[in-house]
Amino acid sequence: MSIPQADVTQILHDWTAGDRDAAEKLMPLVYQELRRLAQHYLRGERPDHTLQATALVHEAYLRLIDQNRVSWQNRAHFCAVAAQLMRRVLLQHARAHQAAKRGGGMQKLYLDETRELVQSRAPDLIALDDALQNLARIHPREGQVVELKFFGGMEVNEIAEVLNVSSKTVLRDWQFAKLWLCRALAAAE
Amino acid sequence: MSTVTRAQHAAEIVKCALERDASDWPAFLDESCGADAALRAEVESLLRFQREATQFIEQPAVQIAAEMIADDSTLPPGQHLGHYRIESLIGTGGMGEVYLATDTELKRQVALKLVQRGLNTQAILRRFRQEEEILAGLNHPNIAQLYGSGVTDDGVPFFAMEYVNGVSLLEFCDGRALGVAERLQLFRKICAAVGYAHQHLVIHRDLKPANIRVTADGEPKLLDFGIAKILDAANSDAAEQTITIERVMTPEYASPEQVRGDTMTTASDVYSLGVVLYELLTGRKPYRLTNRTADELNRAITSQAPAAPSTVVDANAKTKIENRKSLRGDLDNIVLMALRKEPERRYASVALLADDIRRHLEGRTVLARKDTVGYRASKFIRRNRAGVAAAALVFLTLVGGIIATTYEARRAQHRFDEVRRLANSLMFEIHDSVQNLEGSTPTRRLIVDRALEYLDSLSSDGGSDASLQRELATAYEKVGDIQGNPYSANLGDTDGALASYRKATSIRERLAKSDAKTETQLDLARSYRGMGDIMEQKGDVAECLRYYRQSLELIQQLATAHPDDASVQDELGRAYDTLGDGLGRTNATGEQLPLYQQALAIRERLSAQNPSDVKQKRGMALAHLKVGGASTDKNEAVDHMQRGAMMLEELAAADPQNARARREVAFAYYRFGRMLADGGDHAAARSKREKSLAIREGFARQDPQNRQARFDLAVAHGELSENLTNLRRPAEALDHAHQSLVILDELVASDPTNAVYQRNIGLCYEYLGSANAAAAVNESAPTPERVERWKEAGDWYTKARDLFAALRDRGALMPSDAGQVDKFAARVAEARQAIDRLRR
Repeated sequence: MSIPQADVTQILHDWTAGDRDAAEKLMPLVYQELRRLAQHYLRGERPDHTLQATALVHEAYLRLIDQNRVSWQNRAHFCAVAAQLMRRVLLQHARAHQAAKRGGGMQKLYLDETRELVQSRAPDLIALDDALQNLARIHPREGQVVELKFFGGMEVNEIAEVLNVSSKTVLRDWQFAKLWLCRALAAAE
Repeated sequence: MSTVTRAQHAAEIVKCALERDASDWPAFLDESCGADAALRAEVESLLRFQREATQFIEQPAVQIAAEMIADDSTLPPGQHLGHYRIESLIGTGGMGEVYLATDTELKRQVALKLVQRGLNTQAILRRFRQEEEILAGLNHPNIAQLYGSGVTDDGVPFFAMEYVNGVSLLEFCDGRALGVAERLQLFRKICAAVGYAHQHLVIHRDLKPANIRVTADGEPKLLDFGIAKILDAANSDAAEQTITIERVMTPEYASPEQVRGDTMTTASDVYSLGVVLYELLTGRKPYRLTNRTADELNRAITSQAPAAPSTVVDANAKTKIENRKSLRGDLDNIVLMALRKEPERRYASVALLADDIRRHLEGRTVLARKDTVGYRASKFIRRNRAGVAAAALVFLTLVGGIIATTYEARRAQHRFDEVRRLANSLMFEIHDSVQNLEGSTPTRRLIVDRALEYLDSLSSDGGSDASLQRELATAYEKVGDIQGNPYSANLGDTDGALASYRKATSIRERLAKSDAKTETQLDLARSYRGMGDIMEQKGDVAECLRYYRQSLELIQQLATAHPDDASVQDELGRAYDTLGDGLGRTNATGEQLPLYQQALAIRERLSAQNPSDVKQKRGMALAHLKVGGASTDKNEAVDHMQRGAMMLEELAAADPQNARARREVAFAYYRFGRMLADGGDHAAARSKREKSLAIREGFARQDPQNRQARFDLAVAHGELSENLTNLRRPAEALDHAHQSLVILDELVASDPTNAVYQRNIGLCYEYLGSANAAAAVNESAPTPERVERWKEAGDWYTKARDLFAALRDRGALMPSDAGQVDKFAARVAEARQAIDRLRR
């Protein structure tokens, strides 16, 4: 059955009102809807056949949320959940992949192994995630910026909304976090 | 510098550096790191990666993740999980997938349930483990059985359970075209399974036909305990954390308490079984919806009365049950009893529901009774607490039903009028009849909130219609009274009351501008008075008096224009009286007596015109008390007090159900006691105060949620304590003061901005100080004990001084308390001197 819009909307409201478990509650609902939509696209049931991930998140949002009862902040929070979700899914796959290749020596999963859209220097996803966790321990907000931007594909102004800081702060955090992560990955090699 | 602060400091420097040109860095670092070599090393080690970081992770990973989610399904057929071989995916739920699998060791088919990949959040894993634990504890022929559990290679937990090769309940019944009796027999087996689970302290919470599968032999099996709950305090936290997920699962079978997010009990399963039975017998769900939105459904579940099953069966229904007569009567009653909105009015257990069905099948009398309007009315009229509360709730349900259908229709004017009429009757008839009953506070809040909700929504349709605006203002005032009018049983929400009254007053002002009718003007005057009452409660005496004066002036004008209008005279008396009381909070107590005398004169005149009028007699009694309290001549004062108290006793005796009348007797003795104490007659004061205390204890016991009753009790304890101190009985005085303090602490905690409560805590500190001081002056006691007593007295006086000082700093000190800070400071000094003397 489909998920009543009102409840997802309500969870978002609870979240804005300070319910700390809201993200955990939303995760399965968002996941289900994202998966349904992604499958829908990939099966070619949509004319354009392409999978625009950010558009996907947006569509999931439109479908799950009662548009009469939301504000811009709600949307930003929703994207934040999607970002966390994406991170989990990627890690889950990276670990499964790693486990499958065990025996033939430890192999790393590089992002560009899956798809050639990544940057000049593709990070090892598991190492990146470890480094990100370390970063978040010392610089929590900077860690969150990376999660939202890299895993969630969110725009700087959306991130600013979620974290309740200025866009300029988000950009500064992002630049700093990239340096920090590069250094951490270099040290791990 | 600690590592963390250095890291943060370094981060800040790096961020600033990144905003500059790399060529400026050396100079910038010289300046910002100074001589701190470690800091500089940290900063430089980060800046070194600048070039490398430029393109790093700029491309979001979300794209890849989305594709992974798309293929993130199912285990492929043929894959092995331990000794289970996957055959096919047979279902996906909110958090798991169910596969048909083969147990290669035991050579049998199993249903294998596992957490969906990517969804292994803490909450879901906890929930998953709990389902496994629940199933492990249940062993019943009509409940699918747990076989075993394990974890996949990549760490996803799963468990294997009995595979029920069958169809869902409705499909089975309709497919075989079962008759009513056969359906009922099947349903009883389901009840047995649910009842068994309840005995094992498990509530299913998601009962619906899809979770009940029937095998080819006609054996129903209960599935999916995925959101079931163990009725065990130790487990309840974990279960509740995921309640929001759970609430979205199957709203059509959800009970009203589930929809509201309230605690679910076995009665919630009884309700869901009622929905299943309804559908089983009629082929329809209990509620008629137009849009089928979640909001509409929730509203229907919580407030719409389901139509009797026999009235909705039609020849087209899939059930093929055409004989309405077989449902009319018993079965209607049974189903509707299971579907009652209030859990406590449903069958007390699933077993009782099953028994009633058996009785029906055997042609015996069933326990379920029709929930008729007559029943509701009789319940309502019955003058006891439970009766009134329940009846009011039923009435709300009834109104809710009509409202819901009106919103669906959203058209006819007569519907609009009907809602308005009902909302009004809710406000004026039911609320007023409940108002004076003990223990009715929560019911009153519910009634008024609801009515207000309805009127609010009507006002958006009703526009500028004056009579509707009047009703709205009245509704706001009633809500305000219940929220925090100190002069009626209230819920202690002073700020909420103020907000409600402000809304009412502004509507009244608008109305009074365009309508010179006496009633409209009086309404405005009353609204001002209400504002004054709440301002007093907030400790804003100036605003309080301003509103009281505004109210009095308006009524004086009316009284001049209509000298023979008794209702205006009545209000005038009250306005004098109210302003007099307000002045009691200031230093201008000398102005009180003439006001009270004016009020008494009006009351005497009105009472003489109509000797049987209870309201006037009451007014006269209260006026006597006030005059007595303000009078400077002792004999005259005692005379007024006695007359007032006696009249109130008579009124209370004539109407023993009337809580207010009894409250006023207590009030009379309170005033009487105060007056006698002020005059130094402590022995006489004590007997009055004990009377007052006894009555107030009764009230507080009967209606524990009524803050006013608790507050009155605290005041009574405090005053008696003061009295006992003056009579040199410090031990008893301490006891009463402590009791007072306990109550006041609890009141302040629930309404922290209430200055009146805080002020009384200050007085309580004084009573405790004085009682200790009274014990300390006892010269026959040993010196060390006397020193201890003085110390304690000093401590309490210090607290009193600080509290009044805090009120003063906040601007919430009543002018009559202006001297308190100095007075207590002097008492503190006195206690110190006494200690010094004793130690010498």
